[in-house]
Amino acid sequence: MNRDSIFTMRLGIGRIVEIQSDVSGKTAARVICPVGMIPRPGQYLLAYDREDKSQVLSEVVFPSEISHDGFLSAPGIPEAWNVGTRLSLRGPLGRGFSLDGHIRRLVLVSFGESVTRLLPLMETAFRQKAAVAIFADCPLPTLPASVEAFPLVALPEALPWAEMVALEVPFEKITGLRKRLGMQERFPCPTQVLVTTAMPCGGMAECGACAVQARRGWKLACKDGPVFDQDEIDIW
Amino acid sequence: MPKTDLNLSLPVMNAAGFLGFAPDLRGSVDLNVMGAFVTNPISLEPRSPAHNRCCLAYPGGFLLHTGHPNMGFRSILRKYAARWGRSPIHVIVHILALRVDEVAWMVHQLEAVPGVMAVELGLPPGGERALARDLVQAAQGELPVIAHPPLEEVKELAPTLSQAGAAGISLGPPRGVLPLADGKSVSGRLYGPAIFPQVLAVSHSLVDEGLSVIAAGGIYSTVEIDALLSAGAKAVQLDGILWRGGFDIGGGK
Repeated sequence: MNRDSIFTMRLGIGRIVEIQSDVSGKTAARVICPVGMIPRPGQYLLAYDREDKSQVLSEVVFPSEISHDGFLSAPGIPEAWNVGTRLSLRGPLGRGFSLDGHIRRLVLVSFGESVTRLLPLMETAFRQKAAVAIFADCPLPTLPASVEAFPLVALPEALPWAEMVALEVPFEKITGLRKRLGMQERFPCPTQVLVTTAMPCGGMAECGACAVQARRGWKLACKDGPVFDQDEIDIW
Repeated sequence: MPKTDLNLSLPVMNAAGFLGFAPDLRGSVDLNVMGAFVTNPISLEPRSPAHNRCCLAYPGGFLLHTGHPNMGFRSILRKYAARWGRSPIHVIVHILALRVDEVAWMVHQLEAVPGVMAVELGLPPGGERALARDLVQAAQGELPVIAHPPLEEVKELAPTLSQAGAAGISLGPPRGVLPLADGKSVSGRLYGPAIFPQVLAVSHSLVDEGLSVIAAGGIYSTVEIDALLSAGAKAVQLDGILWRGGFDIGGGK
């Protein structure tokens, strides 16, 4: 039996060139990878350390900063990953954020433990001269001076200002989101929601582990998302 | 094709639930090195994802709890039957076997679908021997039937399943429970290298009884494939390694 690789060439190799710690002590990795594998804001990669035989599933890796030759991951990478670690990558996967060119006032909102998955969108907004405000209750990284940061409780007051809202919501916090925000209706402007959840198959299997209740039926964060329009999924 | 024949050109396939409902010709897995494609589990009626669905890694493996969501047999047939017919490799349709009449009807429908080479019957956990026998008997027809009991029940059920007409026994994942941070716990199917020693032991045992075994569970390298095939397994099914990637088949020996 000829047993060459079972995987086709849609995979790639990345290399960690820098390890950083964020404000909460979690580590992030700067990864150099083929240009075609660099995720856009809101997209993700599946990654695993080729030398680490104990890693039984790939890690879901979001970018927090995108460069011409790679990206800085969002914090929370495996402790075993270090400078020089060679990563087997699959991706970029999923549907990311879409920022219309006319948007000039962008609101980023995180209900999770970090805002970092939203930060690549901030960079995109800066390039089109948009103002950015961040709403979160988690520790924040060092932000550009032009970015104003507020607690979540201040969000409803800011919504009339926003031309677009981008949220990051952990899966377990989707239900009852509107109640937590004290909102009666949908967001009044284009709003996209990044749902963070386990996505073990990365869209290969429709396994259902990342299923999100949609307005009609179910959607899979791994391939229909992880970024959804507010009207696609049941966040209310 | 006689119903007891299970002819595989290559002894490697995916486990149910790990590559979707139809072969993806543009996917990241090379179908040419597989002897067959096994569909995700399919029930007669649509199934929603489990309320507490999750995937939890632990040392040596991971627990997966999904509820086997699927759009139901009829919708799946409408959506995927044509792709099964165009598949470059044979398709084994995995049926969630819950009731005898359901199984008989679904298998009968599949007999007319091009590309389908066999049916894999996912038997419910619980180890009820009479029900398992009846389900396998109900599936008898023109297609070979692979019985798929959970690993922890296979040794007890296998002789009965074989007598009932199963052309082969594929090893289903064992079930386990993990604690959650909120003090609750979650049960689900277990995958990963930690279960491989059990899989190899069970495979040896079943082969010694003269049964046709499709081994699955914990295969993460060619070393394990070789061990299982050397033990007499007719084929192996890959699971978590397909999602993780890095199955360097050439480097295993």
